[in-house]
Amino acid sequence: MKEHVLEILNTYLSDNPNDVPRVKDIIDSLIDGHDVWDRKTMTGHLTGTALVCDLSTNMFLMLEHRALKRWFAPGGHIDAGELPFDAALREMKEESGITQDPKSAILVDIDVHEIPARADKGEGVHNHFDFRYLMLYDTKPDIAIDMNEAQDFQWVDFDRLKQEYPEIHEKLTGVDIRSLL
Amino acid sequence: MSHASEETHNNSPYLDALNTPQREAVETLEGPLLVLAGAGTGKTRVLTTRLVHLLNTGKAYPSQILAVTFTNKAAQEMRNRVANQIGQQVEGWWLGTFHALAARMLRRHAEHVGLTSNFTILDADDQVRLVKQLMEVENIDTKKWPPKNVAAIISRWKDRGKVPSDISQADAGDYANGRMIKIYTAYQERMQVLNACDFADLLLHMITIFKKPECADILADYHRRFKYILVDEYQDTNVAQYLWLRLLAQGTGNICCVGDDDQSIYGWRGAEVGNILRFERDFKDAKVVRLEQNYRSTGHILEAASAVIANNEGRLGKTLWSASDKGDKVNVRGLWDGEAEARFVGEEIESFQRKGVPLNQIAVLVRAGFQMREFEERFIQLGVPYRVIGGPRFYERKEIRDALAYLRVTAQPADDLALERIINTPKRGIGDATIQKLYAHARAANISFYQSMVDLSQTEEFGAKIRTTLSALVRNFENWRSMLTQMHHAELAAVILDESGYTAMWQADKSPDAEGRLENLKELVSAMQEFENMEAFLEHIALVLENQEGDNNTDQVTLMTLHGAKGLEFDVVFLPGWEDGVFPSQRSLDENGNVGLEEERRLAYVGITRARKRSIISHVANRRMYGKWVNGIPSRFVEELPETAVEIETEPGLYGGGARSNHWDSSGWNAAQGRDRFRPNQRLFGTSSGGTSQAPTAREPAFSAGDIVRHDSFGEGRVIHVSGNKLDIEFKGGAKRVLSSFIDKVE
Repeated sequence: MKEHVLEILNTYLSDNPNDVPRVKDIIDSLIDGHDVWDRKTMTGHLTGTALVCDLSTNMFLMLEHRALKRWFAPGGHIDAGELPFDAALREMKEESGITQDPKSAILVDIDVHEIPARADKGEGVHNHFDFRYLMLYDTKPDIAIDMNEAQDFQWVDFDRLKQEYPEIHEKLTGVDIRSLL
Repeated sequence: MSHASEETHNNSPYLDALNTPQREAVETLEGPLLVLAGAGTGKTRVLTTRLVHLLNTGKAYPSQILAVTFTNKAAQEMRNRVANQIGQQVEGWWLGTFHALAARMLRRHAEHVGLTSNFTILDADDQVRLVKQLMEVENIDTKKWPPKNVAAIISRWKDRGKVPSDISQADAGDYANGRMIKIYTAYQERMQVLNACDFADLLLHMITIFKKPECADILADYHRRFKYILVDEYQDTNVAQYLWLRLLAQGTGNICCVGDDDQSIYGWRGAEVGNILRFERDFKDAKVVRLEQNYRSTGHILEAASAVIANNEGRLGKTLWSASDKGDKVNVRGLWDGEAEARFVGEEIESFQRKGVPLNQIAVLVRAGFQMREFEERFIQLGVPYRVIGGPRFYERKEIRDALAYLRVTAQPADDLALERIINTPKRGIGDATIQKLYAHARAANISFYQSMVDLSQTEEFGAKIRTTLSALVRNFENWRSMLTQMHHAELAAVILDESGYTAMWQADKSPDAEGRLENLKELVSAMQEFENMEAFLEHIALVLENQEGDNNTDQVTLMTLHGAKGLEFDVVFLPGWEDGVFPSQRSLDENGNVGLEEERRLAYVGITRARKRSIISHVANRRMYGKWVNGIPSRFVEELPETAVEIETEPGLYGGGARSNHWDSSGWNAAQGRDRFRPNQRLFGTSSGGTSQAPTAREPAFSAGDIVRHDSFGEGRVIHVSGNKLDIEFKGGAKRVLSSFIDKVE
């Protein structure tokens, strides 16, 4: 498992050589043997994010987080034995109610970000090692969000990604997403 | 100024023979150095010269050098080469394989891991036996979980540098009833009682010792001792080897690793290409020298190999070039079927032979063992001497011999040896004593072994159990024999192998080569279809087998797998079977996805660069695989070959569209490749479509709270809230918010 994720990181870094400083902590954690599958590992644990893209309109799916009242792409914590892509796909399906698999998926970005402490959940400050996959669909898949997690959803255009996912916006600027199929 | 350089020059004539990057690799003695050596770029020469240079300049005594090779053979070779250059044997240096060196160290510090210095090293068989005992103690079904596999899992963990306490239950999974950790722990405890180690322990124990705070002086002592560390074939190191090296290199930091990330084809052995890719990060300020001038192959061959490997994503980027002539282009030949391919290769070999190319300079490299049969038969027909490296020839393999024995006994019951071979294969509880009795009766009554079995299965000679077994076997053979005239012989062979339990035996065998054996059996059945009947087939086999004996001619064509060919070179290399599914192998793709594909691609690179002068690739449109005709599409690696370095000849009408001079024009082909690479910078995204808004759907019935509605996936639910075109609905599985266009009202 661990080796597999290292392999994914290596491949990713050869495509995104400038991202070495961003993902260094993930590689170190893996090599040092931290259990990044355990959400109690505060130095950082794995999460997956799904940027659902409808190729017919070039729009992306965003969900409004019920507790945080902020808009995010679907995603969440990895389960034991899962690879980051499995986590992104599973969370996408659970949260957005999409049942179809994407036509194609691409690891577009890996991000390390700090999550502030949340007293209500009894969590301290910790890091997320977030693997972000572009999930490509020919047409808009049927959405039925789980209202325990999110309270609303919307399809946003490419420029709106700049707000929550500036790195992804930058990477995809000038790219014809269809060519990634 | 010039004086100094002249002096170096005079003292080190061995440096003159090197090109600039080679010389840089030899003379960069301080600090971490990674030498990326492409195939045939003089890697061995650099290694040897570097050692000579260290000794000659007085930088280190032999005992202060740690040199790690991958095989004992390579260590011996290096010892001889250095001795040749220096003019005397070098004594006292730490040169050897990872295992040999770690064993030497562990004998000095064995007490720190609870062993004594005279510990024994267990081989793989002992290991499996021990695992079996431990599993039996634990009451774990050794049929369901073969001890061989359990031992392999333990070895894999060890190769990754993991002691039992490092394994999480998630890693262990539910193998062996979820008790892998317990077995591993018990195994290590038992080893201590036995004062024994397995191979992987040698490194693992040394890592444990190096990491113990109370043993800090041991590691410090090695740090003082080893001024220079040298590692060959670095790309094939596994995690444990890597950790061991990293610990040792923390001393002076003078570590030089030589490797080629494009040549790592040992992923399945726990080797980590990642190690080479991590080097620059782990050894800060590491210098990287790339040896790119190839002394082996021609320009076109290198161009082709480089273009193919460039499609791999996880690599450090290294282009080979050659100062020698561009040479002949790489040939790509499309043929009708496997037989035509074997005929083509055979004819080409004869033509090279006529031009004076020695046969031992010609190799046929296949992806899988089952591909060999067709070539072997063709060579036998043509009288071309050949040798199979890395395994017995097809018809000499155990599973093929066993299967043939079944067919023989069916067609020729008097074949005593054949019956003896398989009477207890698969295991039927027929031991030597029974066989002796059967033979005694046969001799006394002057009948065949088979007839003796028939006779004695009807008397009281044996106990009930053996009697039942023998009569069942007789019944089977009688039954198969009666089908000889009624059923196609190839089909019958499949029936025999299944009904006898022979196929099941290999299916139940979880050893790594079982899969290959099953493939060979299928290939055998497939080969039978070319013959008129069973007799004709068996006669052909008898001839082939006879032909194969007493072949001690040294000028022979080499037939081997790509995996076995690493490190070898030939003037002419044939690379047949470049079809998707054969190469890259479907199994590798299915099991390991993109990682598997890249490993296959490294194998393609290895294959092409085995050739000094000519690489000849072939693919066929129809391949009989396992008795079925399969339409072959040319391997994706064929498409990755650069037009400028390749010459294509394809039989007309192969792919239904008349002659094709050039594969690259075919768009259908490209589309069939399923490209999944991330290739940015093509057309503009977001400019033309950035403002596109959601098109409203035509059908929009009005909903209101309380409506009962239906959704394709979630079934019936009740609308709780309406906001614009979105509905909040209470379904059985919880509340969802959906677009109204996906909802139907239930009347």
